[in-house]
Amino acid sequence: MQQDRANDDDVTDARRSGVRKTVLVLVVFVVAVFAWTIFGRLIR
Amino acid sequence: MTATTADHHDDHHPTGIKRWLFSTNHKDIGTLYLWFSFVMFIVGGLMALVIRSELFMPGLQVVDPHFFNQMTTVHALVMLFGAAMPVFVGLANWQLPLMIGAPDMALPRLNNWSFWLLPPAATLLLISLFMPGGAPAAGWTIYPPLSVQGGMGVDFGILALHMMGISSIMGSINIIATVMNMRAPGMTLLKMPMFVWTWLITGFLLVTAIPVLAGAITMLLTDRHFGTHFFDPAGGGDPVMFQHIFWFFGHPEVYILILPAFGVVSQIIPTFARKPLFGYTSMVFATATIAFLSYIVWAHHMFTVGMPLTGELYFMYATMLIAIPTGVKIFNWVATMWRGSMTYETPMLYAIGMVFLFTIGGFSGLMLAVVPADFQYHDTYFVVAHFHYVIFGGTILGALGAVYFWLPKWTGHMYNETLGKWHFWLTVIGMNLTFFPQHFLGLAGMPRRIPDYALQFTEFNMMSTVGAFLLGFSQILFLTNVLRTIKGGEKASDRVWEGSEGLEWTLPSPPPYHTFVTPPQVK
Ligand code: HEM
Ligand SMILES: [Cu+2]
Repeated sequence: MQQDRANDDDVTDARRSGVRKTVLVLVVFVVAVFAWTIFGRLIR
Repeated sequence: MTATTADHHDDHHPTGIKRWLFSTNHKDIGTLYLWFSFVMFIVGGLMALVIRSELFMPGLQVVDPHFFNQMTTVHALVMLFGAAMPVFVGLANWQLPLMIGAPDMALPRLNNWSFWLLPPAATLLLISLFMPGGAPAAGWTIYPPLSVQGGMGVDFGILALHMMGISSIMGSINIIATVMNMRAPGMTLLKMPMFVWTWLITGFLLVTAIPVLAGAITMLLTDRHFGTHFFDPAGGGDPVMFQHIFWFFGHPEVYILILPAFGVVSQIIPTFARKPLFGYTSMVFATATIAFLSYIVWAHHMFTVGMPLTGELYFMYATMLIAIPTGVKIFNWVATMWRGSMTYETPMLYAIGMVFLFTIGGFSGLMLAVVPADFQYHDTYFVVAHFHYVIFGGTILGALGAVYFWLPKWTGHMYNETLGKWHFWLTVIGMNLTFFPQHFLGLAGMPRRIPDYALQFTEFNMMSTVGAFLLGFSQILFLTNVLRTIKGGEKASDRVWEGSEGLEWTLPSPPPYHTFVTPPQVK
């Protein structure tokens, strides 16, 4: 969509790679916390 | 690639329903969040009025006790996950890009998804009221074994919570990514406005706390349907473990609710005191300290569960530590007002009211933190009074103040000041009439979450119910004022307030659809 592109291109390349790294770290973290909450109980 | 598409920055965008369904614009999504949370505020408010109607007199008169339990449970879930959290995500959407000089949020499409998960989630939660067995009724804390025994409504509640949790996680990832990567050149971390700081820290609280809730309710679901016994002693499980996991999420959650409101107040008070915020750096560190401490105090919610004495003492002292950074913040707000040229427009009234009423809730929190005292107060109306002072007096007053503060910027019109002041005073009087007597009820031993009570509690309950109706109906003034401001009214200037400072006030009121396409330079 045109609108998406406009928004997307506001993010310069440097910002875009920064955003990617931030998101990657956070997603891994969220999944790890969720998994530990459950599997931490299973291995008790 | 960037060069060829750079000239698409015009104000063309879909109109009608498509503008909202497919929106990737932070301002439109902010508006959606704000309206959604207002609707949930009304829905949750109506449930509160059902509760207060039943409690107007001793005996059972208005609703059936099981329905009463559904009301206390769903009221809390709707207010927390439907109103109090989304309203600040809405404010973040509107304001963060404007305050840090970014063109939009870092992840505009994720932003759309975060919002659009909420209406289906709310629907799932609310339709459970009409199912066999009704909605979840074990309290918003969904402790097993009660929540394991509940009907199908509990499953709908769990699914709804999962969806709202995913929405919050995506929203907070977006906020963190935006604040970390999208700031205008020159906007160093320690130049960020306090609202941005408090949201950044809240974002970290969310990504840590919500997955824990998700884990807890997933285990609840597998205990209910898939033969696990995480919380069932008959199979080697432990219901108290649920409480530990729940409150490991639950206590940070209450700071998720209050920190962005702290941020709002830190924007409003300097504006109307016409002085820079006192102790900016200490504000940032106090906020971070509160966030850290919020992870190591969870068991103050379960003092009566039978912990070892050392555990009780540890959680008691750790909880009391929170009073230190909280005190720093309150001191700084007061010091900002000290000898300022103060004026009392509606946002300032809300900010001062927030500081005052939140402090009352902070003090009752300290009382609850004292282990032997909590043995008496736990599960009484004293707890209900405590958390409504911090959540209504703190979070909701902060959100209302924020709307009055930024509405002229968003709409280009001034709201009606007289109506705003009426709304403030009626809300504050209604809130105190509703919740102050609940302190006395609690101290006298009236339990929470019970549809009937002993005769000696009647007078304070009647006062509370009258206050609740006053509080509820006063919100009509707010809706009227907002709608009238959107439709028209006196033109707002770009700066709006004489004392305003910050990037958002350099833009026209209302700001164009796309702003800061070229980042501003911050000195
Ligand atoms: C100023 C520091 C605070 C202290 C020392 C404190 C302490 C406590 C304690 C000890 C309890 C447990 C009472 C019991 O169940 O017996 C409690 C409950 C609660 N607090 Fe606070 N609190 C503080 C601030 C806040 C804030 C800022 C919020 C939210 C914005 C909040 C929201 C709640 C809620 C929702 C409950 C009740 C949870 C439930 O059982 O349903 N508190 N507080
Ligand atoms: Cu707590």
